[in-house]
Amino acid sequence: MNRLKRTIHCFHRRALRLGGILAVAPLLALALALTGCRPPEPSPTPPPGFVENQKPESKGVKGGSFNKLFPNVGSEGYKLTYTQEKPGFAAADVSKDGKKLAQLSISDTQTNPEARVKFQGSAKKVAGYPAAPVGTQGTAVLVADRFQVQVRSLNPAFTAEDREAMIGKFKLGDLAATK
Amino acid sequence: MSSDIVRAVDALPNDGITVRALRALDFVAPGAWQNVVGFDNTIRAVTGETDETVIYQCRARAEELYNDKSQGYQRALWLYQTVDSTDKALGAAALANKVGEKVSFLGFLNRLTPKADKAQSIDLSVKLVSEVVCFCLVNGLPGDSIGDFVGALSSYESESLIRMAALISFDGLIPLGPDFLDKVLGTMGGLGANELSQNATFQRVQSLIPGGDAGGQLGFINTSLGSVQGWMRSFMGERGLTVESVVASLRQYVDVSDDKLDYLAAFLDMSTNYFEHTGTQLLARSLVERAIGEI
Repeated sequence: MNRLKRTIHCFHRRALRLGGILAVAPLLALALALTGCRPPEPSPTPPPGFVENQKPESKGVKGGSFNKLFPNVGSEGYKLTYTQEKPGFAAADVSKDGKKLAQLSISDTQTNPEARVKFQGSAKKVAGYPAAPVGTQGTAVLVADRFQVQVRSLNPAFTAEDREAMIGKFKLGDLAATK
Repeated sequence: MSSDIVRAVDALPNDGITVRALRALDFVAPGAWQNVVGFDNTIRAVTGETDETVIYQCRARAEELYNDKSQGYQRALWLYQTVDSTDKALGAAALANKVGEKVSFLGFLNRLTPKADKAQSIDLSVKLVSEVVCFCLVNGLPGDSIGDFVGALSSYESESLIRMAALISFDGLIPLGPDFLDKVLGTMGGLGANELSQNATFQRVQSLIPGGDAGGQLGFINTSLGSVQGWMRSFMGERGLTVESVVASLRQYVDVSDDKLDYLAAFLDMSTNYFEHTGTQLLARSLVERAIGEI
């Protein structure tokens, strides 16, 4: 389909150069009918900064062992809802007054070693651990050179400072001791 | 080459009978479900991310997770796709047969066969246990963790919330009436394993239903129904979900009279694939939420 879209697009441009607008109209209609409102297919070329998937080093520790290491923030009016628990991964949503504010997660980077690349050469530390942004909405730290703790804002009210403060509330010392 | 999940999410329709039927249930949880289609759009919607490298990285990780059979996502997608039996040609023909903005299915009455109450009860029950199994597969739980499933229902949102509302409405209230739960519980309680084995919907997904043989699977179905009925009754009460409210809302899109509800049920059954549509969206969300945490 991508090739077809490209073909149609190229033909379209050439036809325009020739001034054959009328000749293009049915083709354009065909292109619209074919593509409809369908989202564009992803670019086959990785953008700069993309890190190729690397072979997992292990299946990761049980996600359930991460749950007890999440912040205990009930007394601050936050509610934690655990959402996923898979080998090497656990996640929870943080909400306040019924509004979802952030996603918290712990992952074992042995299942996805390329995750560690972004911490290399990072001078920034949060709660004493190497820190790195994950896009525009996430902040992560690498604990014991293995476990990634990430906090992502799901609401503009939850700022980058809030993310760093939340990271400090995980039981990071216990996480570092996890085998 | 995109993986099956990316292709499935990219192929979800923006509009059609399924989408309109689901939109008609918006009154249950206003604005809770947005019909997000396209895998990268899902990443943007779920994570709020605008960084294209992170979006690309997230998709690559999500595909890697999906392609690992042991993670269970492939089985969940298969189950969501297979438990829905849809005559897509009928859906398309019905959409083409609009009177103004409304779909009229009166011209298709000869192609619609309302299901007997027993078959409909089995359909609803099999869809419900498919949801239990998919919930367990997506969350990494043993397939028969009914207690965890019931506990999680209160935090169901977005596409999962609308799927449960559709299950109650399109497979319960419209075909079986306001007391559908009692009917289903009664039917399934008196059903034999042989009868269950002969049901087409059950046959399609039998391989993934916990319980071993048909007898054990029937037991699992009845346990699930018994555990979920309390939540369903509260949900209907709290959200104003009744035959009247659902039909009134569907009338925005479909021309239907009150004496043809059994045909409306058959029409929805044949022309929509709401389980597959919202199940695909749920799987995409779960994969994205995990992938973004792992990259």
